[in-house]
Parts: sequence; structure tokens; C-alpha cells
Amino acid sequence: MSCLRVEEIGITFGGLAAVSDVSFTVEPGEIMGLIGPNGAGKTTTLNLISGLYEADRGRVYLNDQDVTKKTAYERARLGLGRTFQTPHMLTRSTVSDNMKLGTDLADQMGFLKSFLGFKGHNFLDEVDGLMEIADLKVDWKADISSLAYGQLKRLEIVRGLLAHPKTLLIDEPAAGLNAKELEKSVALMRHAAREGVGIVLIEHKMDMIMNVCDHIVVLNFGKMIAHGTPDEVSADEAVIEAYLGRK
Amino acid sequence: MKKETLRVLLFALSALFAIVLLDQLVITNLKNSQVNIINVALIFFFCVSGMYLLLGLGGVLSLCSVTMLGLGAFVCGFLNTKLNVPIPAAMLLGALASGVLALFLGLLLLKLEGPCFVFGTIGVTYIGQSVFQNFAAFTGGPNGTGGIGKLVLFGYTFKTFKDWFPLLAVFVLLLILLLHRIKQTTFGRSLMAVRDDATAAYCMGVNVYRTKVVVFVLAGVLAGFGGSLYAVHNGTISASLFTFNTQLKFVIMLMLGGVMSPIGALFGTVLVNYLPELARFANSYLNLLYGCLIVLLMIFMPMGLAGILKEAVVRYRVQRNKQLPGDGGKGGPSDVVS
Ligand SMILES: Nc1ncnc2c1ncn2[C@@H]1O[C@H](COP(=O)(O)OP(=O)(O)O)[C@@H](O)[C@H]1O
Ligand SMILES: [Mg+2]
Repeated sequence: MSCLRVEEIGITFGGLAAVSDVSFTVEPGEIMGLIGPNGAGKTTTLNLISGLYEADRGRVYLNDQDVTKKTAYERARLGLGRTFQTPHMLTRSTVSDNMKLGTDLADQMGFLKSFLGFKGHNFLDEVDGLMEIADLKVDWKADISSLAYGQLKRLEIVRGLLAHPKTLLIDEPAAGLNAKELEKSVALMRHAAREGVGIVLIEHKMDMIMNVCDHIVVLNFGKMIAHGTPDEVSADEAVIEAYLGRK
Repeated sequence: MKKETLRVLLFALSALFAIVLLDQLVITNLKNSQVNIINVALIFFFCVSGMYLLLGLGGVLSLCSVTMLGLGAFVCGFLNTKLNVPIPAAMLLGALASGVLALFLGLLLLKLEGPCFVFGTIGVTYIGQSVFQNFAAFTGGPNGTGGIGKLVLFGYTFKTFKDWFPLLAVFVLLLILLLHRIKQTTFGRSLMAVRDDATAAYCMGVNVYRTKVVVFVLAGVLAGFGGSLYAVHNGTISASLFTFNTQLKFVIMLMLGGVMSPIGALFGTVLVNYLPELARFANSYLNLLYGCLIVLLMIFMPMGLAGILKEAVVRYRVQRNKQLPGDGGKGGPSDVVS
């Protein structure tokens, strides 16, 4: 059973086919790279999968269930997590409230039950483990706005994982991170994949993509121009011309 | 968890103690008209606390709380005076009526975004204003509703304003505990997510529309209950109170104390209500005073009194620890699990 399947998905913005006919499958525990030049339609593809954009064409399946007509929050509750190119945090809240948004999604407890004092699962060990892998030391009572960008980027992945997703979409985790921080982000992804999470990873850093991905989809002008293992993709003529060749 | 419960218990006990002291030392020495002002402020806090939930936690600016207050008051008054429904039941039904109206309006209006929603709620306030003025069979029209019965609880009749003060103060204490609790629940966090980043909320499984509707209904029930309290406390109600003007005063009360803090909002409510009494010498300039207050507030303390206080505390903590919050790893997640 695949955890994510995308079939000939597409969307058009005012005549511009931002994404067209994109199809791929992600198995549990797999890391799939989604690469392409700026404006190729990578983020738009994630938005179509997570339900922030409504697809004009094509279908999206989570764990073989058709979710094309479902809203973003329904897809999230079915085990789809994501991060953003620029982190989307609760800017006026504490680190703790931000992270508990993740555990809340894992528990999916009703308002009333939560109000009456029912407890969700114990996530303390899990948090400690993830924070250690991410090499993050933050005061949980601090306002999230007091954290550095590199910390936020990694915290967003931690928050995603706290929700116990089956599939996690990660948009440019390396942007704005130094080499050491980047290493920790990769460690988080590898950890998640070992736990059976299927990951879609958008990234510009080629060495990182070639290193961590099991297979890679290459987009250019919204179309898939290649799909295969890192070796296959880096040897592909079209890819070299469209993307790698420009470097 | 244990630590948190203890803190809440301690807070509640000291607040109860403060209420007793206030009642015995201050309230008894005030004139009846002054106690009336304070009581009404405590009643208005039901309305303002709903606005705190909406705006402070949920980021939803609704300008029709006064309509919910009015509906609660008139339903309670109508049921008691025309249909002889006993006071406690009439009060609960008043709250329920406002909740039902809020559910209807919430489902209808919360589909709208930003300014469209705000203007929609302004429309509701004007409709309410007109209905309260003109539907004489229900509200008594320009004469209002009078002769509303007294509240009797456990054989004790609340006759004077001074009788009412301890009851209202305890209600407000319970309300503050409720607001504090809500902030720590899934619902509270969903609200904060909706306020700060609706996109993040969606992708973390929060049904944004439903969350907004629930908080709108909750605020409606609180305001409606406040209206019922107002009707029974005063014995008479007049439509002239439930206007857009009053709604804007509620906004000032919330902003003065601090939109992010229930206790701040309570201070703001009492302060703004007591202002005419304090500034009696300048009564013809009251609007000038309000106007300047709002402008200065927005320039110098957009987060209100509570915001200033919080800033000072953070500055003190930073100075003491000689480090920025978020840099140190002192507070682990276990400290804040509740
Ligand atoms: N909401 C939108 N409205 C109009 N155009 C959009 C929208 N989102 C993305 N696009 C366009 O779609 C194309 C792909 O963008 P994007 O997916 O962000 O690229 P990238 O591969 O760099 O992440 C770009 O030309 C962009 O301008
Ligand atoms: Mg992008």
C-alpha cells in the first residue's frame, strides 16, 4: 500500500499551467525528491497534495483512499503533514502551544473531551527524542517569535512529526540553515523515514537530494521531465539541459 | 499538571479572599449608585470576555456582542414579566436564545473574511438596535421592560446592589477560570492557530470555520447570560443601552486592559465603566476623554495594560538570566504539560 499517490494532477492560474500531468507514488519509509528550477511548480504541487489548492485535473490518494475532494484539514487528519518554504508558526504564541498543535492532531480529541480534562498520549519522551535529533534546545515557555529562523525551520519538521503523519511534505528545509543545522534536518528526515513515514522533499541543494532520496521527480514549467533513482536522474539528458546544466 | 492545579487553586482562593475584603471594606462604604456602576461593569465583563475569546484568542473582530447582550436581557425580561417564567430559568433561556442567534449568525457570517465579516456584524448591531426599539410587544418599545422579578437563590433574595456584588464577583471569578482553562485545551490552541496563521491551522487539521463558529456561539451565550444578569440586577431594561455606541465602549474596555489577557480585560471593563464617576467634573468632555484614550492606547500600548505588564516581566526575566528567551534550555516540555 502506498502512502501517497498522485495521478495526472494539474492546475492552471489565469492561463499559466503551473502544474500539469504530474504523477508519482510514495511508499512508506521512502524519501522522494521533488526538484526543478525556480517557478517549476514544486510548491504548487505540495499545495495541491495538501489541499490548499483545489486541483483542476487529476486525483490524490492517501493510503489508497481518494482524497481529491477532501479539505486540507481532513487530509491532515488522515495522516498528511507538511512544512512550508517559510515556516508557518503561531507567531503570537509560545513554543509549547506551537508544538502541542502537532500532538493535538495526533490525538484528534474533541473540544469537549479536552475541556473536561482528558489527556492525550504521553509525548514527552517522543519530544525529547526529536529535539535531540534536531539538536534543538529551546525554552518551551518562550514566545515563538524569539527563536531564530534556523530553529523555526527544524521545529516545523518536529511539529509535523509530533502529529504522527503517514506522509510528510517538506518544502526547502535547507533554506537559511547552516551546514550543521542542515545535517540535523536530514537526520530528522532519515529518522522519520525509518519509522515508516513517506516523505516528499523539495530542495535546491543537489548533494543533499542525491544523498537522501530513494527516487526523484524533476519538474520544469509544471511538467514532469524525469522520474527515477538519483543516478538515473542525474544522467538524464533533459534534466541536465533544464536544470543541472545551468549550474 | 499538579503544579498547574495548585497554582489555579491558589489563585482562586486568594481571589475569593480579595472579594470578601472588597465586599466588607470597600463596597459597604460606597454609595448605592457607585456599587451599581461596579456591578454593571462586572456584568458587562461577560460580554467583554466573549470578545476576548473571539479577538484575543481567535483573532475574530465581532461588533455585535451588544446585540447578544440585548437579546439575553429582553428574552429574560419578556419570559419573566409576560409568561411568569421563574427568574433562574428565564436567565438560562436568555443565554440560550443568544446562543441560538449566534449559531445562526456565525454559520452565515463567518464564511466572510476580514473587513466583510466586521461590516456584517455592524449590520447585525443596527438591526438589533432597531428591533429592540420597535418590537414593543416583545421589548416594551421605547418604554422598555420593567418590573422584572428578583433573583432568589437557596432562599436568599438578592434585593440591593450591595447584595448582588459578591455573587457577581464570584461569577466573574468562575468566568476568568473558564477563560484560563479554555486557553489550555485543544479548542484554545485551535483558536490561536486560526488567529495567527489560518494556513498552518488548516494543515495541522484544524477546521477553521467550525472553530470560529464554536467560539462565536460561546461568546454569544456568555453575552446572553450577561444580558439576563443585567435584566434581573436592574429590574428594568431599556433599548437605548443596546446600541453601536455601547458596542464600541466594549471594544475600548477590552483594548484598555489588554486583548490577550482576561484579567487585563476585567480591569479595562471596570476602569472604563467607572470613568464617568471619576471624571465627574469633566462630564461634558467625556467623549473627548474616550477619544484621546483610544488614540493614545493604540499608539503607546496596543496590547493594553496587561501587555505593558508582560513586557516588563519579560525584560526582568531576560535581565536576570542575562540571556534571550528561547536561547536557554531550562524549561523543558514537561514544565508546561497540562
Ligand atoms: N496562487 C497562485 N496564483 C497564481 N500563480 C501562482 C500561484 N501559486 C503559484 N503560482 C505560479 O505557479 C508557478 C509555480 O510556482 P511554485 O510552485 O511556487 O514554484 P516552485 O517550483 O519554485 O516552488 C509560478 O509561475 C508561480 O508564479
Ligand atoms: Mg517553492
